[in-house]
Amino acid sequence: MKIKRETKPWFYYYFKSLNGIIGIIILSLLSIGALVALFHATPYDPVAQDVAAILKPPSGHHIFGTDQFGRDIFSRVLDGVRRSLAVSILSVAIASIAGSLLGVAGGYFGTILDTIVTRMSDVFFAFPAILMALAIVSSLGHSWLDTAIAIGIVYTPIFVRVTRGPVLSLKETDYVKSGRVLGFSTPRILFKHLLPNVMPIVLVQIALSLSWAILTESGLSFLGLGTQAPDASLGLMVSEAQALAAFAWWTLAGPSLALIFAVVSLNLVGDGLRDSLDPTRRSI
Amino acid sequence: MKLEVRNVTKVYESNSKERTVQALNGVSFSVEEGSILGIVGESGCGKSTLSRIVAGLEEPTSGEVLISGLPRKGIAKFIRKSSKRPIQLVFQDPYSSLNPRQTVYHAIEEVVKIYDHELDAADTQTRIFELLSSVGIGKDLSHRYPHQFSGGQRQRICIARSLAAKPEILVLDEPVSALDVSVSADIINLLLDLQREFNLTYIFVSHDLGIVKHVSDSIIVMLAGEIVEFGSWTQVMDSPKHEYTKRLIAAIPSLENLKIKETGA
Repeated sequence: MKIKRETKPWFYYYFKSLNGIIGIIILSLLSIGALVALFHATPYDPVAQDVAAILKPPSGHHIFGTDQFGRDIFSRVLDGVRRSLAVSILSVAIASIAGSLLGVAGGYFGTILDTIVTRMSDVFFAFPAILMALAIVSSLGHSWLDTAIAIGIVYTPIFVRVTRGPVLSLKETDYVKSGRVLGFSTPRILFKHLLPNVMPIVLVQIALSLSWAILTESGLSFLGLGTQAPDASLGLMVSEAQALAAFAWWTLAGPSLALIFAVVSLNLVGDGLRDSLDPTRRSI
Repeated sequence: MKLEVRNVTKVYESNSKERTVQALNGVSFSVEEGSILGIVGESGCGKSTLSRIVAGLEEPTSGEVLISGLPRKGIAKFIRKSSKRPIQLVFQDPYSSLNPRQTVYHAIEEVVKIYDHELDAADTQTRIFELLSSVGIGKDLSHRYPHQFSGGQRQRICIARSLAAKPEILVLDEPVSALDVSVSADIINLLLDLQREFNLTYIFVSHDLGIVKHVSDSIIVMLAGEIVEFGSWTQVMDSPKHEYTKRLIAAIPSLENLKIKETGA
């Protein structure tokens, strides 16, 4: 006999939240832009200079205008979004997986492992994120992969802290204890009972960290250690536009808007995910 | 399956080992197969510690727990040696003893898959619905999450989950103290029915002598980590040896007591 499921899959609840819908729409548009750049389908070559069209305001030919070298800002923004998303997604993937595993393991097993994990996190926390990233990038190299690894390492301790605390209290709950009495294996308790219950926190943290990672990548580019000119990066474009913004506002507007939309959409998606993945937060 | 607890002592130490708490001090008793043992005592007397030690969640500082005459080492070692978990524990708080992110169906399925791993998909489903119906939960409710149930229903689900492990001894750690009176009566009747049906041995821990009186064959009265009274219900009621037991018995609310008070006034 087939039983009708009373609970719908989580994405059904996701699309009931307005925040989630807006967030996913903006993020999809940005992702499409990133894909366009990935397949070199931008209206202009992002690095091609055009001396005949220096600092032109937005028009039918260049919808975001052009910069001081006559490069099309719209094409550069798409390419910058591609680079920023790639770096932030990879770095947060590294940070969230490594950090959550270390945090859950440290919190659950305690003892020496926990001490090592938390002390290491404390040491990493003692440095400002950008300084730490600078140090790692300068020892690794300047490719986008090195930048992603550096940012990933910098954000790992946040995930350690964010998962370890809840695990410390969750492991004392009756349902974890009952799992032990019922004879569940340790991996089952860790991955089926503890991890799903810290996931909402991790997801919110992922959304926040993605936006921070975009900003950190911009910061590194600004300091000359991330993306190198003439390649486009949102951060690099913003810093280049600083001097020009007084008389050519569009040079700042394009990349800033892209940054804002990326950061806001990621936060909205995080909210929507949190609400839909937690059964107790669903209305009805 | 006979359970024997021999001279069990449990001492909790603070991290710096400066302060120690003696939760249990030389506790010994035994329970015959198919009988119900009630353990009564006030908060902090060690009855929950005792139930956790019997269920294997904690190790005694000294002494041992024997099952059918065989010593039981740590739960982890025990499970590796045999696929059966003859002692199960039902927790006091039905609100925290189920994973909030698991439907009831999955919560029971995960236990059935350990203890009845040879069943195919269809038989597993049958077994799950059989367990749920034995505690009075309809299969139409099985895809709900714990927060969609009342406390009484959750406690039924916890009992079904324990039964899925095919226990012979069920330790009930204040199973009804979080529930209101009419619901707790239903749960107790359910527990008594199940005990007869599956020939289970119960260790029923409670602070309420009235409930223990209703269910147990024999009782233990605990005070400050020690057993002060042990015997069949009538023995203890008719000739309590310890002052504390006399006070407990006097505190049972009953119609007779009420009448005495009324006529006295």
